[in-house]
Amino acid sequence: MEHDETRGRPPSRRPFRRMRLGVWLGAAAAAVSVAAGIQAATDQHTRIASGKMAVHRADVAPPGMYISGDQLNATPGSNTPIQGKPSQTLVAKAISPLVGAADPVGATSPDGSVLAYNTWTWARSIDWNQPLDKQGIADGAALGTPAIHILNLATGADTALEPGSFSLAWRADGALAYAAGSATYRWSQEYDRHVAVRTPGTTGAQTWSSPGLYRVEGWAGAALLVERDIPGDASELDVFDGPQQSRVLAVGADLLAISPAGDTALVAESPADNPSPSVRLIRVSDGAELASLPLAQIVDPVTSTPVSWLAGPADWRGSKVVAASETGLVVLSVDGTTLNVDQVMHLDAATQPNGMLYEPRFAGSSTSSIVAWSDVSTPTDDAWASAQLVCDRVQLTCGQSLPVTATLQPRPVYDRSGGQS
Amino acid sequence: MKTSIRTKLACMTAVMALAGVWAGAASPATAVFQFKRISNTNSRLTIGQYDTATGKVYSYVTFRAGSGISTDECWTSHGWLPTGLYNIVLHSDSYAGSKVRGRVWQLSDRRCQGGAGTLRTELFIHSEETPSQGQSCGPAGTDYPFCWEGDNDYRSEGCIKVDHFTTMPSLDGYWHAWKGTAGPNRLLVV
Repeated sequence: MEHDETRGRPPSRRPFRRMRLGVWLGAAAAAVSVAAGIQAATDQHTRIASGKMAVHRADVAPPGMYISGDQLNATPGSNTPIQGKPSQTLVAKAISPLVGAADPVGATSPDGSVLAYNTWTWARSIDWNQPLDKQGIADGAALGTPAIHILNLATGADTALEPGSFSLAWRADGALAYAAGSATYRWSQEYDRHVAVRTPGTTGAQTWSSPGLYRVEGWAGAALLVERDIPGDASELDVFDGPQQSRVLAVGADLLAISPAGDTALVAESPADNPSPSVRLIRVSDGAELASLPLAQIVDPVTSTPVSWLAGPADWRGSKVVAASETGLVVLSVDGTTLNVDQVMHLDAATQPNGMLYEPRFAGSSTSSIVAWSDVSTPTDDAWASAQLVCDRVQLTCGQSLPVTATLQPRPVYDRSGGQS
Repeated sequence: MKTSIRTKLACMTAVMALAGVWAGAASPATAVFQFKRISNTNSRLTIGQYDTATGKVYSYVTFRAGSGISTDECWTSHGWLPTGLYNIVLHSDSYAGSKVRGRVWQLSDRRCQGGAGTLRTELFIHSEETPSQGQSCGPAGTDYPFCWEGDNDYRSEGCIKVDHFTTMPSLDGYWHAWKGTAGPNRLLVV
């Protein structure tokens, strides 16, 4: 006979005891939460409610390092030689037309001493609102030149890598990976480039790939993750374990983030290439899928419909990942081999054309605050503007800065890499 | 799908003329496109025949088309096409690219206007078909790149995509019948 500890006792007794225990635990948890602050609770895997974010105008000053055009700023506590100092003027505006906001415009070296940033020099002034043939530009005409600059943050010394260099990531030992094409980007001609790696103490770069439409995403330990675009079809996320040693990690999926340990990568499948797209957690060493979460399970709290896409670059902090979605922001929980939805945040503006939230990052040391930026919808033919948002995902509120000229939007300085080399 | 809305045609003509389509055309009559962005999977692609000497619009036809997976034009490889004028870099009836094949129009690059300043590249008008304009399909449940399975195929990496079975034959037919040629300002995205 099975043992039943309730036998012979009043049936209501045990639930009552459970309830009393629950009340006591709840009170204790509340006390801990108050004492440690909501931020700490957020970081202790407390589930936070999904919902609609209330956006208000605010003077935002998120922690970290940001580049606005040719201005570099770092808030106190950002652990760089320029933290808290007046903004520093770069020798060239930081911009990367061949990458957009798909990757960082600048990243500091692992020791924080050097900033590598993307620049672009237009071959001529172009009015994109007018026919280009009337401006003397025909297919194949020189449009511009990308070049990575290396800025020593302590001395201010700035040097440029070879013309044609763009899209970068730092390895833990200080090696810099980037894409290297020809010096001139020509209008409407395929701009093939190879993956290059420049190691500390050497003068030249080592070629890791044959030519292709590569973008450097980040290091996962000693392995390099790159996006390879394929005209008109699904892109590849490839892994280079060394020079000319590549393998495909995912097809038709974008990198969201590399784990802090560098052993796994989180990717989001594109609905253009998969009728039932998922977020996938993939082990970098062998490509094994450790977990999968269908986008159908990420439901917007306002529309009550699943989001159709998630976008990288996302930010992975501890067990939390924040990514932009079709209707705002999504926070996922990643723990070993499990992948869950932590929170879905709806922002009305994000659902409008060109309202996407770019480069969401957890602000500071906690995961309760998120900073992102967005183009602000404007009437046709008006000059475009962008704004920065700092969102409190506990209170479901966002402060939005005054709009600025789009190209002067502060963009975060970060590196997508993870792990040790 | 033929439409008879004269005002729409007049509007399209005016817009394209203002944008310089006429001046850029090399021959008196040629084919040009307009892409009206509505949604990623259900926008409108119009092909028209214009007389560049007189400005007269002889005819036009509108089809369903898709572009991108997002309405953010600065999102490289995902957002729909930025507004503005595009060149047709080349047209082929048997294009044999690595992934884009069959009847295609290659478009010029274009920069978006948002803060990312993205230069959108590797753009095409295409469908999902083989270089010989056929289909290469497999078992259900997988999206085959040269097989038009259904409405989900209107989604793209940013290109304009049309139905292989109903739209592409007509679109390509009108292009040739109306003496379409590659050249500047052949597509207006609004």
